[in-house]
Parts: sequence; structure tokens; C-alpha cells
Amino acid sequence: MPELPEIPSIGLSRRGFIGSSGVALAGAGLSQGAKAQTSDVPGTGPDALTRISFTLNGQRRTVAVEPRTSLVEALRDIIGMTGTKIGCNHGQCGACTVLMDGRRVNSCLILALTVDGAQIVTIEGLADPSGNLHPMQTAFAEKDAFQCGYCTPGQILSAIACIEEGHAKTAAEIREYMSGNLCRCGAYPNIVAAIEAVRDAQES
Amino acid sequence: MAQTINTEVTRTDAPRKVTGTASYAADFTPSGMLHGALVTSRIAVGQVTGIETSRAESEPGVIAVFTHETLPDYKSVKGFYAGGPGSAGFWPMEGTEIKYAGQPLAYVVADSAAAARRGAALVDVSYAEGEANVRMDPAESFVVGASGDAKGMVATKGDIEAGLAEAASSVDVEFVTPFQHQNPIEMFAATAEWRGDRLTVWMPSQSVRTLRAGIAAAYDLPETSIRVISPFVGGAFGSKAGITPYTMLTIAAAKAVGAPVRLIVTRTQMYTVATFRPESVQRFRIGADASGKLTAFEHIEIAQTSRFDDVVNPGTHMTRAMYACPNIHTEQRLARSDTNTGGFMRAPNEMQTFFGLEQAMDELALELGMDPVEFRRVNDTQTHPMAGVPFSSRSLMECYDAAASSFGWADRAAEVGGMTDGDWMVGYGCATATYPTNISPSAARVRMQGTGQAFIELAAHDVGTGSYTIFAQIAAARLGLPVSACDVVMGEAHLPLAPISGGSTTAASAGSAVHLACLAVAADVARQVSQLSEGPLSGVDPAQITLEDGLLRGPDGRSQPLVEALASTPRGEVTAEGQYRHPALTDEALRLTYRGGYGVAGPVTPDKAMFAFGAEFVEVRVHRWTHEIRVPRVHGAFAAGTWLNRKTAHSQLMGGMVWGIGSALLEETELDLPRARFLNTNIAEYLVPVNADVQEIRVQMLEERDDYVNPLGVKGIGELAVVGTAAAIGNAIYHATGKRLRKLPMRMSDLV
Amino acid sequence: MDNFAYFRPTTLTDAIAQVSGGSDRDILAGGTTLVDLMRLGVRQPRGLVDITGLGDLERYEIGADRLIFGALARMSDVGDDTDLKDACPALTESLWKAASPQLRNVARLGGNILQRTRCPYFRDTAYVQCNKREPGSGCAALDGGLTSMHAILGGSDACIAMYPGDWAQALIAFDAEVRTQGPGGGRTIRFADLHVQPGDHPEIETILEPGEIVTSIEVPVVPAMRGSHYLKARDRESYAFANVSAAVGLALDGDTVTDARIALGGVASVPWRAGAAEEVLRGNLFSEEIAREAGRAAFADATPLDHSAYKIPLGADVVAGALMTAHARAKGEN
Repeated sequence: MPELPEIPSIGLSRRGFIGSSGVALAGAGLSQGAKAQTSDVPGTGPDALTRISFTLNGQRRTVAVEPRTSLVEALRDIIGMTGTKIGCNHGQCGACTVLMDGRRVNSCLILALTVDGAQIVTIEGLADPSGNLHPMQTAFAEKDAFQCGYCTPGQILSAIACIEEGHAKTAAEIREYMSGNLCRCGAYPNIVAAIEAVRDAQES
Repeated sequence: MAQTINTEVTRTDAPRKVTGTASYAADFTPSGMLHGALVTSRIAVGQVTGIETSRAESEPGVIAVFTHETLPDYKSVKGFYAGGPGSAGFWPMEGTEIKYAGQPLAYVVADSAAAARRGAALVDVSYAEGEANVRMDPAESFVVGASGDAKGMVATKGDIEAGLAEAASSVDVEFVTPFQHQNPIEMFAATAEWRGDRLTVWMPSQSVRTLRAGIAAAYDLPETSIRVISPFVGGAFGSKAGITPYTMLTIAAAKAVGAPVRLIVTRTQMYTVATFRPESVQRFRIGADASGKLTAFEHIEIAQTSRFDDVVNPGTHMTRAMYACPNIHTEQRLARSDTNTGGFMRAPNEMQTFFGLEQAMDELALELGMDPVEFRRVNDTQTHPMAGVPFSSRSLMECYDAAASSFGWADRAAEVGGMTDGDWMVGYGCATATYPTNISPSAARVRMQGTGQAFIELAAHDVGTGSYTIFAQIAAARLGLPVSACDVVMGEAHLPLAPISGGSTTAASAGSAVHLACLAVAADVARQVSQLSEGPLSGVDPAQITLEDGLLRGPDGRSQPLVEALASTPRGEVTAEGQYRHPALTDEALRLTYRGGYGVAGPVTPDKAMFAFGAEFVEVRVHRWTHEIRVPRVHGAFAAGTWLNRKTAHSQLMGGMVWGIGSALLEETELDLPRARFLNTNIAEYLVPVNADVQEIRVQMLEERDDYVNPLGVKGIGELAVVGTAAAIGNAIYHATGKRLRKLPMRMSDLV
Repeated sequence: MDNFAYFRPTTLTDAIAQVSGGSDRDILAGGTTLVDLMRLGVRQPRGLVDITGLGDLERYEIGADRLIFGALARMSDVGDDTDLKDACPALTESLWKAASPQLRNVARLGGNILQRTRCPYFRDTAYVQCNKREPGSGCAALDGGLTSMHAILGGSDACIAMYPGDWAQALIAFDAEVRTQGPGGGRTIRFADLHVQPGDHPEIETILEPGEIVTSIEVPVVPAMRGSHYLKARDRESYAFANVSAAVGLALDGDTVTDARIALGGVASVPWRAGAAEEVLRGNLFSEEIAREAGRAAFADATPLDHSAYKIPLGADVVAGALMTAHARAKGEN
């Protein structure tokens, strides 16, 4: 076995070889080992951690990220909000869909650095402060618009955007504009039914 | 208490699933966790001649790089098809040998997932490359188990040649089906944490008990030292059944670095580190007399397997159960090629074989000038054609009649090419669906409280099937509680035994155990209240007390709600376990299941044949200019004993038909022959259905009573509706275009 | 994916300076191709210049004589634009039939026209041979590989990778131009000249110079735009690359074709204008038969391999079918 190098970590001391120098990252990072100095200035070099700020579900967040860190990695691994799922990491499945400045995007293909200053909404941000579900969440539950539930956070955010964009006028249009979210369980007809139900309730 | 069985009940886990709070394996992060990444083989066959790890090791964030030479305490387990819990019989990183492309060769641990992946990219492997074939050669096929126990892999009844000779019409046709990958949207993940000799593994699993038993045996640990946690599984479809090398590598790596490690397998690596549906060739020779009655039925299946395992998914055992025939011959054959070992993919024996069978039946019906539905009716039977035992229940023609009626089968133009709509050529087709009813032993524990709640505990899994909900429903119905008062705990190996969530066994098997546990709770409460000095059942012989919809009933009209009776006992709480075993289950199968294996009764027992049935009707449209094939309508009617939850069952059947569309028209793992690799190893070019591919899907759930299969009368439905869809689509393509497509997937390129 | 230096300029001048200011720097716009390729290990730039801060480039304008698309306009905004749909349906159809809503929300038009091939041998670094990824290493596709989604037009002995985009077919059909700014100043490039066939150097895909940034794409308005259509044939109904596609436009005098535009997707190494097929139509009375003849002419020079032979009859039908719809639109019937 190769010799294990000493790495700085965030205050965790395990088995003695994972070192002790803690780098305090805002946003409660896990396992985001420090590479070098944290910088506030983008563009200073490949090994710098850069501090970015954005609004996540209405709350301002500041986190330090590597240049290569994706938005979904920042959400899951650094901030620790795991509602957003990874299904492919290449923009092919839509499981990681979040809203960025009101638009649905695949958070696996968004570099976290480019989110600085943006408004992000994830599945965790849909219920109102007293815990009442968003109508789309309720509709998905009632229409059984999922089975395993893994693609569901992305489907729900995509569905909300689908109506917002005006792409939910007919079932055919919903099907086309929900085709960026794969559901391997095959719940598609129920997903369409949930979106139609929310659309109709909004219109009435 | 309102009846909860056979109603539409919203999933009890729905609130968690729509809020992102349902926790899948990769959502658990033990403190101090590190990240793993796999290095996989570029070549398919040969030797590792060297692995240069220094560049990877000097990459910032990389903690360790393990190879076959440097990973201590890495253990393997025996492969499934050799009677073990493993996904394959050959284990990578035990030596230098390479037997398939994409084989794991090194394991990188780093402080972030990105650093681990980067480290993996920097590992340089040198190879001595041998000759490889990824595609099987059917000419080199052999009978399964020819060298040992053939277990009915070749079966003959009557005289097939004589039957063909007396036929008025016959078909001799061959069908080809591709490699397919399950591609659940949740990527394979494993997190391992050692604390001394205690190990916790978080992993999406279709069998937490198998996982724990296998790990315990491999590491020579008591099962009490191992926790396996898998509360939610983001789709499995067969891919998360066995113990895979990536799991054992992660366990070993975590042990070696002394910190928890999580591996998320990349989508591309998912094609080679677990299992898949092997490619196959299906040959049918079927003859019928002028009245349409079959005189001969022959089916020879040749399926691909790896060089080191015999993957036995006996489709011929299913096809020979379908239609009455005096002369039957079936052969289950294999041919090898250089891949990892295949395995289960939703309807593993049935999808590809029924693609062939049900198109062959359609061809023969047309030869005979018979309506395809009437042709099935003439050959329908209540007796298993090969085994000679009656079906415990079989409602195939009821399904045909119900689906034909809702679909409007009678309105079709009989002649090929007779229907068009603008630029679309329209065709109708139908096919039989079936799935064997496999019944595993199972156990469940129910703790009921007089305050009106119950906890139901069992080592079952919810892979999207609705298990959490149906177990709560069963308990609610028996105990007389609302569904919301029944809390189901599953997905952990320390819970009472439940079977692998495969083979559509869970609802029927584990559901029966929950039912029995509830009866045991009631018996305990009955005994206690009979001994109380007062109360409606005081002094009654407990043997005379029965449980009926939450009500304890004694003689002379004396009764008391169970929950009330329980509240009146001193403890006010009862825990009881139910142990379910089908009477036809052998001791051997029982023993196997309780040791982490997969033992079942059925589908054919000494007394009965247990199958669920259905009929599917599709409308296909083929575009005049683009030759695109679209499926605007699928109607399926199914009979599978008792429906537990009409909402989740509907979703299972609907999703099954969506899978059928995918198999029919889209799904194929493409091959790069010169390098013997799977080619389209992603989920953009491996086409699965998107929302726009699925339009009208209508599901009918027929009533059927079956007292033989299990106390609940339930047959499994997780895979049923996948079967037959591809053939129905093929039959409809023929009806629309006059072209008979005998290879999956059926693509526009086949119609130009 | 390796780390990289990251720059986010707010002026075009700075952007050009930063792209040119170090070795191996890539321009990042939406990132839907680039981040994907970086995670695959196909691209490993040492620096990224994120130009999405250049807000001026997000604008687009549907004028009476000229359509002007800023390089940073989003596929979704332009693909959904009803004015553009009226002016030239092929330009909107080829956008909304591409990718997914999520990708279209992020991907910018400048990046869209420069998207890289989906050739599996290019995208998977486990294949040693790829002249596009590693010049001189060979071509796995031509070395016995699966070629069902490779180019049958414009390929070479070094590379048969297919250009996978959709919008570019509509652009080349309607004589689009590309405006750029680089260290040496600005220039205007005919869209038809932007992409380079692989020849002996498949690693070179465009004539853009190092540091040169696409700022806008412009299309002169012609009558054939109203009678235009983008027909995309694919096994999956949505979110799939074209097996064959055709961007076509017709202008009619009565039923006589006065202008015909035909471009092909899913079949060529670069965006592909089918001039010979257009000639079949120009000056002649439109009919289904002449549409089919044009379809056949579009593929007269195609050189298929075993797995891609289906694209010739399929492509001929797709072109003919697209022309039928375009004809109906040109007549105001659809």
C-alpha cells in the first residue's frame, strides 16, 4: 500500500493520519479538503478555493469551491443538502434539475463558480415556511407521479418551470417539455397528469 | 375501519419523496468520509503488465491508490450462478488477469469526488492484450448445465417432428435481442465505514440480507457486526441484486485508509461493474392444425453468458407454459463471449422470449387466417402444458377480452396497411403477458400499541414498487388501524428476513409474512383479554377468537376491536413475528433463503402452476417520410390475484408497459467489436423512453381469486407488464407496414 | 476533471485578452458541451474564460431584413420566440427540437454552433484511436467500429465524426454569417466557411483563430424563410440526436419554385448545404415526385459504411418530407 499523505481536513481526526489543520468553510462543508488559500478573487489560479455567494432557497449562502466543483456537488457535498440527485453527471437525465434565476437547469453541468450572485431553488425550498407543500409536490404525491422517487426532485422543479414557461398548454406540449427528465420507472403519464392538475388549479 | 386492500392508497413515503427528504444510499455521509473512484480496463482480454500510480498519488486531494498488489483485506464472494451472493464468479483486482472491458483495475481514494475521479484519470495501466469477442457466436452454443445438473433445460413432450408433420400451417422463425442495461436513474453507490471490527454499508440494494450474509462470510465476521442500510432505492430493475466488486472494493478501501469511503460509480462504469440483460437468439418452430390448435411447439433459446459464469435465465420455462400443445420441445442454451457476467433485468426470462413467441404466434395466426385473439383462445388452457398440473388461476382470455374491448380491436382493418392517418401508417397488434408467481419464505415483526399505532419491521426493500405502502395497508386492514398509523421500517439487514426484491416476490411473500404477524398479534391479544377479569372477551377460549378486519370475534356474538382489547391489557403493547412459508417450498429453498440466497416455491409446484397473466394491445404509427415508429396507445388488462393497492399496482403495470416500449423501440447496448467493448455507455445514446415517447397507457386490473398462491391471494406484478409489449408492437408494425421485424430494438433504420 | 484558472471578464476586450493571455484556455459560455467534455477527460483546458458576463451579447433582434442573434442569446429564448417562428420556422424548430429544456436554458447560440461531435470514440478516452482527440492516433470508427451514427458526407480517411447540431443546418441553409472579435480585430465569416471538414486534420474544426470570440450570428431575411421547416428523424421522440435531419425552405411563384434551400443534419462532418438538391427544384414546378428527386440528389455523393447505409434512403425521404411541409407553408397552408 502506498504511503498515505497527510491531508488537512475540517477538524476531523481519524486514525491519526488525516491531519488536523481545519479550514473553516462557511456553509458547513464536509470532506472539502483544502487545496490552497481561499480567495475572493476569481481568476487567480487553478488551485485556489474561491468564495462564492448565492441565494439558496431564499437564504444567502457563502461557500468556498474549487474551479471544477459543480453546482450539484456544492449543494450535496459542501452544503450538505442532498435533495438534489445526481443521475448521470453529464446533463443526460435531468435528475439534478434546479431553478437558477428562475430557469430550470442541470446542476451537474453548472460550475459552482458561475453561480456567484445567482438565485437557486432546490426541492428543499418549495414548501412554504410553515411546511405546506408546493401544489406541484402535492400533485405528484396524489397522482403517483413517481415510483422509486429518485428523479422526483428534478421532475418537480422541471414541472414548475414547465408551467411558468407557458409550456403546459396541452398534454402533448407537457410531454415534449418534460422530456429532459428521465423517469426510468415509467411514471410519465402520471407526471403529465400532475402538471395538468396544477395548471388547471392555477388557471381557475 | 375502512377497507384498505384493493383500494387506491397514496404512497406513505410520498411526502418524503416529493420533498427530497427520502434518503438514498449516497445521501448518507458519515463524518470524515472520503471518496472513491474506479480505474477500469481499456482492453477486454489480457493481462495487466504494470500500473503506474505515482502521478495519481501526487494529485492534490488523493489519499491512496490501490491496485491488485496493494489493497489489503479485499475479499470476494462466490457468484450467484454458482450458488453464491456475488454478481459474478470472477473477481477483479485479485490478480493481473483481465476478462472483460471495463473491469476494475485500481481504486483511488481522495478527499473529494472530483479529486478521486481526477486521480483515477491519472493512473496509467499497461496491458498485454489478448484476442476478445464481445458478441456471442450462436454456433458455439451449449446446453445449460450439460456438464452437470441440467434441471429441465432440455424438455420434451410427445414428438415435435410428428407434430410439425401433421400441422396445417407452421412457422420456423428466429428472433434476435440485444444486450440491454437496467440503467436505474440512481447511480450505483456504496459507502463503507469501519469502526474496529464493526462495519456499516450504505448501498442501494435489492437484498440487504444477501449483502450482509455475503460480507460476513467474506470477512469472517458475525452478522451482528455488520449493518447494511438501504431505506430507499432509486430504481434497481435487477441491477442492485447481487454483491458486486465495487462494493467489496469500497469496503476494503475503507478498511485500508481507516476512514469511511463512498464510491459513486460513473454512468459509464455502471455498464461493466454490475449486470445486464444478455443478448439472445430465439428460435421457434410452431405448428397448428386447420382449427388453429397447436400440434407442435419448439423453442430454443441461446443466450449470451460470460467466460466464467453460466447465466441461466430460463425463458423456455415460461414460453412452454403458455399454450396447450401435445408435442413440445424446449432447449435452454448458452454461448460465451468476453463480457462481465449478465444477470437480471426486469422480466429477465420473459421480455426477450415473449418478443419472439408472441410474434411467432401472430405470424401463425395470420398464416391460418385467424384473428390473433381467437388463435390464443383456441390454444388457451387451464393446465400447464408441460408439467401437466392445473394453473392455480389463469385468466388470460378474460384479459384479452377486456383489453380488446377497451382498445377497440374489433375496429381494425384486417388487411396489412389498411389504416392511415395523414402521413402516418397505422397498425394494431396484441400479445400475451405473463409472469411466474415466485413465492419466497419471509418474516415480519409487528409491534402494536393500544394507543392505536403499529410498527411493521422487515428486511424488505422499496425499489419504487410501493412496498412501504402495501405493508402498511395489510397491517392496517388486519389490525383495524388507519394506514397512517402503521409505520413500516425496511431496508436494513438486521430486520426479519424478507426475500430479494426480485422476481416480483416481495408483495406476495413478505406481504404474507406481515399478514401472519398481524394474526399472531391478534392471537396474543386474544389470549391476554380472555384471561382478564372483565371485558367483552373475558373468559372466552382464545382458540375460539378470530380476527376479522381489526375486530376480535368470539363465540356468541362477543367481540371487541383489537386496538381496544390491546389497550385493556396490562402492557398495552404486543410484539409478534410472522413466519411465512408456502406449503410447496422445499426445506432446501428455505435453508437457502435464510442464508442470503434466493429460494422460491413455484412457479410450478407438484400441485399447481402459478402465473399471472395479461393481454396488451398497442397502436403503432409509422411515419411515411421519417419512418419513425411511435406508439400512441397501449392498453393492457391484467389478472394477478388480489390487488393490494390499485394506485401503486397501476403504476407498476403502466411502468412495465413503458419498459416494453423502450425494449421494443429504443434500448440496445451497442457493441464495438474490434475492441470488444460496450459502446454507448451513457444515458444519452443508450436510449430509454422519455416523456414524449409515452402517450395513452390504459391499465385494467381484473378481479381474480387465487387461494393457492398465498394467504393474501397475491401474485407479483413488478415485471408482468413488461412482457409482451415488444411483440405487440412488432405485430402492429407488421400490420401497419407489412414488414416483420425480428430484431430488437425495432428502429426506423429497419423500415427504410 | 482537473482544476483550472477561471476568468470572468466584463468587457469583450478583456475577454479576448484573457483567452489569448495564456496557453490552453477555453471560452466558457453555457458550458453544456465543454463541462461535459472536461468531465469525460476529453478536454483539459488550463484556463476558462467565462464570457457570460458580456451581457450585450445576449440580445437578439428579429428584423424585417436581417435576423441578428447575439452569441450569448439562449437556445430556449430564441427557440420559443414567436416572431422568429413566424419569420422562419426552421430556425425555431431546429432549436426547440435540440437537447432538453434544461440544456436549452443554459446553452448559448455561439456555443451551440460550435458544439462538438457525439462520436463515441471521441468522447470515451478508453479508445486509444481518435484523430480528433489525439492527432495521428487513428480512427477507431473506421477501424471496424460501429458507424451507424457517423458521417456519410464530408468525412475523410482520418475521421468520420458527425456534426451533431441542429440549428446550424437552418443557418447554413439561409446563408448566415458569423461576426467575431479577436486579437487582430473583428471579421465577418460566411457560416458555410466557419466549419472545416476533417481532411487530414480532424482536430481542426473551424477557421476561428486562437482568442477569436463569436459575437453574433446574422441571417439575411429571404422569402424562403416563411416556407421553411426543420424535420428531425430520430428513434426517440425527443431529447435525441438526429439520425437524419433536414432544414429546408421554399419560395414559390404560383407552384414554381423560385428559391430552394436544403441543408442536412445527422449525416455530415460539418453543417451541410445540399446545393445539388436545391438545383433540382429551382425553376421547376413543385410536386411530390420532384421533392423525392431532390431528396435523392441530396445524397448522391454520400459514401456510407455498412452501418450507416440506411441514412441514404432515410435521408432522401426526410428531405422530401420536409419539402412537402415547406411547400404547404410557402403556400400559406400550414
